[in-house]
Amino acid sequence: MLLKKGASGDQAGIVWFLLLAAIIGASIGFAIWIFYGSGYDFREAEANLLNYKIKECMIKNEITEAFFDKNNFYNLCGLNKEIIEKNNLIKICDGFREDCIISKEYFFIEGSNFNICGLNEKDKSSSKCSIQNFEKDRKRYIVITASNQLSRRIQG
Amino acid sequence: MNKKGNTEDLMKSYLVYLILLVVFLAGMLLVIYGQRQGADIWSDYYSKEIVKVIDFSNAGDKICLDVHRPSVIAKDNEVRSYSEIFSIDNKNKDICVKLSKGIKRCYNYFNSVEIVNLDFKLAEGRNENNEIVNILCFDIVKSGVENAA
Repeated sequence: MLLKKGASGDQAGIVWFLLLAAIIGASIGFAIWIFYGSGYDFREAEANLLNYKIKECMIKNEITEAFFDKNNFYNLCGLNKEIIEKNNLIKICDGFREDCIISKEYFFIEGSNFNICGLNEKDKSSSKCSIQNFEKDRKRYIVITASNQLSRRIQG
Repeated sequence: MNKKGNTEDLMKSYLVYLILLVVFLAGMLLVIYGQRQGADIWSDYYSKEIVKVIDFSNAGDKICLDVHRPSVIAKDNEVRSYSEIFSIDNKNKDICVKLSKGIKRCYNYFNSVEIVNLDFKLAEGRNENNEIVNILCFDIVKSGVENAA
């Protein structure tokens, strides 16, 4: 009788040991998933970089109506039209930040759905935006840029 | 005799725990080592970092990047050819990094430039700790002048 009790005690010990190992393993797995799971989010950096490039381009060049002609704009600012159309949003207007997001008056626009730039920053699924303003010739410009590009995983 | 039997039982019990512990630790170390090597994570990271440098550059720039870590990971994963690790598609403005067999990560750059003279240099660079590292060098030219360069 005593021997049987001892044997069942041993088995219970192994069960507890395995349970503890599983908890530790799951914790380490969860920590790795938290750390690496979301990947390296480059969208915000890309939106900031595009915004900086446009701002520099506008400062360097004379801003006329012709400047905002699409082909001319991309050419003068050294941006690739096809890639921007595919991965980014651009809107340039005057006035104030919040107005520019919803405004239907603008100097230049590429893409639509700028409302995402007013959404909660914690929304990880949406595009990442950059909104900057600057003054040139006593005129205040707002530049909104966004990126929705994620890296592509290709077999090959 | 009975005491000896008890000691043997105890030893067997400890041995079972010890074997289980070794198996568990080996499994965990394998998982952590696999993540540390993380070819997919590092190829994602390096494709974006290279794109960041290209987007920030201007025509005429000559760029060299420390790519020691990805080249070591690629070698461990039997991706031997360096032209296979880093590939550039100037037409589609695409940078691809392949650190394991069969899978590569690609990312577009928006800067209207082309990358020419892509050159992987083995043990020719030095990092901030003055250690010898592998570097990837390339030149930035205006779009459309690749053939002339």
